[in-house]
Amino acid sequence: MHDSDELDRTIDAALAGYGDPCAPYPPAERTFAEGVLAERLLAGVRRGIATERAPRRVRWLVWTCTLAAAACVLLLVLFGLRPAHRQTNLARQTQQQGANPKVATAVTATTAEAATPIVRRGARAAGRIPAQVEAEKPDRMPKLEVFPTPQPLSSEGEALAFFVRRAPPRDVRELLQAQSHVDAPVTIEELEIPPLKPLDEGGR
Amino acid sequence: MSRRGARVLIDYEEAEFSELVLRQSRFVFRVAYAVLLNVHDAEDAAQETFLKLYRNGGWRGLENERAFLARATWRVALDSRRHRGTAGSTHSAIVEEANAAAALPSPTPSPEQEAVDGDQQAQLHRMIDALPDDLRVPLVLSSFEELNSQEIGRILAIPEGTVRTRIQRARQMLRQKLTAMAVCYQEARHARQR
Repeated sequence: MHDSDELDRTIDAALAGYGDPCAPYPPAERTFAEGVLAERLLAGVRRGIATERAPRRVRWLVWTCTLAAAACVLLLVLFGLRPAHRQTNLARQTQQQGANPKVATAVTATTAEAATPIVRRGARAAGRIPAQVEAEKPDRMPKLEVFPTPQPLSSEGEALAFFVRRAPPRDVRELLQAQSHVDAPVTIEELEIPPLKPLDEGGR
Repeated sequence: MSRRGARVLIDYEEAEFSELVLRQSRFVFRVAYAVLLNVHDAEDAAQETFLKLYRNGGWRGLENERAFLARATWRVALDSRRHRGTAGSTHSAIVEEANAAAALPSPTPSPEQEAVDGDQQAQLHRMIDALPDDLRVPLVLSSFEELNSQEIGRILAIPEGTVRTRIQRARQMLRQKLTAMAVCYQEARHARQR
């Protein structure tokens, strides 16, 4: 019993110093001077906090930039994509009408109204239209009863477009001249009708 | 709150936290060491524990400071051991080394060996190192006056009865080894006298 108590006391004494960084027992690598461990731990904690704060600032900056970029993209999509979509549709139409833009414009006189916004937007994009003209944005204009969407060409128009594409320029010019002649006011010369002769004089 | 007021508050908090670290660093280190059996790993785990505490502000207004810290440290130390890929092998290597050192000493130790291993405390520490994890940690925690079996059970998430049983088993193993060591030393001494 006495031995057992002695052993327990020995064990308790050993446990009291077990893993103690300031215990005076060997091996020497286990020992720290009193307070040194706490200072080392505090320094480590401060380092850890400092390194945590720095990436947090960077992360905040990255998020801000990302949000700003996303907002820009959204604005571009809202205000840029819609006209572009229309523009592509109309461009497809004009492409069908012919390679020569001057003639195509003349031929598609009916769709000129619909084509106007394209020209305006294209010029705005190129920076040729002054600001006051730019202010007349179609989005801000009152809604029309009938939207001027481009109509498909009639069979006559298609035939004409085909002719313009294929025929030599001279023929096209002649056609245009003929067209202008048709449009000119018609002058009818006065008819001179001689008076009828009496029957007695001529017939008998 | 003004910037100066915030600065004062931060300074006050840092001072309070520094006091806590100064007060409990040895305790936290010892708990971590009981799990990791390595001074450097234990220091890292202690630092990680304090860093986590500072980060989540859990150190303010603790009812039982040591019980809380012991639980936090134990978890951090276990995580640290689990996350280190080679930790398992390192840990087992340390245990093997401790086992070898805690094995019965040679009946005829050299004078140098006797001088090195003569310190009974150091021998006992190696014996404790050699104990299995589930016996060593409750035994080491039981050496702190502030922690009773119930609190140790809560820290390790095991029933109070299991804590008592494990402590008894650990002590029993240490007693057996100590007795065997004493017998070996006596025999060696007799052999040298002859």
